[in-house]
Amino acid sequence: MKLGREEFEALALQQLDLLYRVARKLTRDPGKAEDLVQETYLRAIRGRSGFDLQEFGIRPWLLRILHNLYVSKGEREARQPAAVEEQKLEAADSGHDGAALPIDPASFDAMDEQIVAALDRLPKEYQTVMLLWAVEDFSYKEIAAALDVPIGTVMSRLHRARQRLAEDLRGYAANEGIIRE
Amino acid sequence: MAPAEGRICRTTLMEPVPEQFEDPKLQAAVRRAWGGETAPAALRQRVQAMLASEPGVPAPRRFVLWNPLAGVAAAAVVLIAVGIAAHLFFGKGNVSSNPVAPPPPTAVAEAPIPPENAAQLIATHDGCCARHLPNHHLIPSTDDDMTKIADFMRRQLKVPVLAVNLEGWNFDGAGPCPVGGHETCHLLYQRGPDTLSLFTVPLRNLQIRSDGNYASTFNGHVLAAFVRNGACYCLVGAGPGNSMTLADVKSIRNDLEAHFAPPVASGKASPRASVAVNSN
Repeated sequence: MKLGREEFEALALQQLDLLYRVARKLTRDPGKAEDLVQETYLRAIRGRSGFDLQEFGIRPWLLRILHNLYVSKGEREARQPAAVEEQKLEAADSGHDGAALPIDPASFDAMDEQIVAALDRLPKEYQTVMLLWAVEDFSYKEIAAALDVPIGTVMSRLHRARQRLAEDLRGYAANEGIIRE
Repeated sequence: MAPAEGRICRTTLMEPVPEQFEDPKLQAAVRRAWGGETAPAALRQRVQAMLASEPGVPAPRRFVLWNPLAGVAAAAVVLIAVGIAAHLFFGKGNVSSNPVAPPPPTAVAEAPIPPENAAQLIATHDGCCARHLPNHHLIPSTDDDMTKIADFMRRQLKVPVLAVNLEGWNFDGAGPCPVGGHETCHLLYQRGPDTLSLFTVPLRNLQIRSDGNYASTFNGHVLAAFVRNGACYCLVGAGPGNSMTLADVKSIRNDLEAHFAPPVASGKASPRASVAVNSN
């Protein structure tokens, strides 16, 4: 379904906080995040005529623009890998698949500060998926559409992010008596 | 049948991953950690301004492709052109024997603004007038301070920005408004029923390529611009009847240009306009 200008404007603006949060996770810099979001809207405005409102609304479309911009910018500037390659992520996490979590997620309630720090230590690609899933309530399919990756990749990133978090927090939780080792 | 390589294989390799990842505790923890973050107000204002000033999407040019009469019309045009050419070459009628007439003397001293750019500038001018007047203050924390506006927008545009108060005009505010999808610095003024915009546009976003003066009358608007140091400084004026003329905007343009050229001494205000140019 094609949107009128007013509808497009309203829908696009509703996603500003979401885009900014994702941009913050990707760039890890408030200024760069603002630039990225602004550029995303510029591209969206230019590409509005090509936008067709479908199953998941405007969110995945805007996120895809943002993500593609981020990736292409990273490639252009060659400062760092734009997106962590899946193989590298998998290599870094090898041996964790299927293993039981080091701590019970129920313990997360008592460790908010540590969780913030542990989340910040996650690779960007994990952070993005985690943010979309946990904060924005995206379905796997929506995340896959937004980041242009297979659903299996979304699931594995979530799983590994959870593993890493639990591992990262295990020491603290044991010290504080939140869990027994 | 063996699965094709690529997407199917990558997905099926993820065997250990649970089918549905339900973890409300973790979700709640991440929400508490990250959920409260919102976009800064300044970014929101800029995005709102961009969306508000979005020029209309040009209608697709379908006539030539879709209308069955288009071919007939095109053929007729070609026939007429051939007829005129033959008429000129074979000397029939009272036409000069020289088939190529000299071009008429050019009375225009300055180049016109490319029509596409003129249309984009006008679309932004009209859009901002319709949506924001009399409050076009879309750059936060600048308090109508021209130096602050110029500083803020220079950082955005990476070119020297011109921000001025114009004598006889009410300043209605500045915004980072897009022209043709590219950000510009847009100052908006009113004088009775007349409206006037002053844009600073990075040259990379225009079809104009060389320094100099430009002026056009386009679609009921008067435009005058000058190009300097990689930026185009363009005035767009509109008003009922003939209340705004091309001569008016050219006069303001010339005045601004005169102040713009030399380095601006701090605190030295011109009699007609206070000018802030940040070229650091």
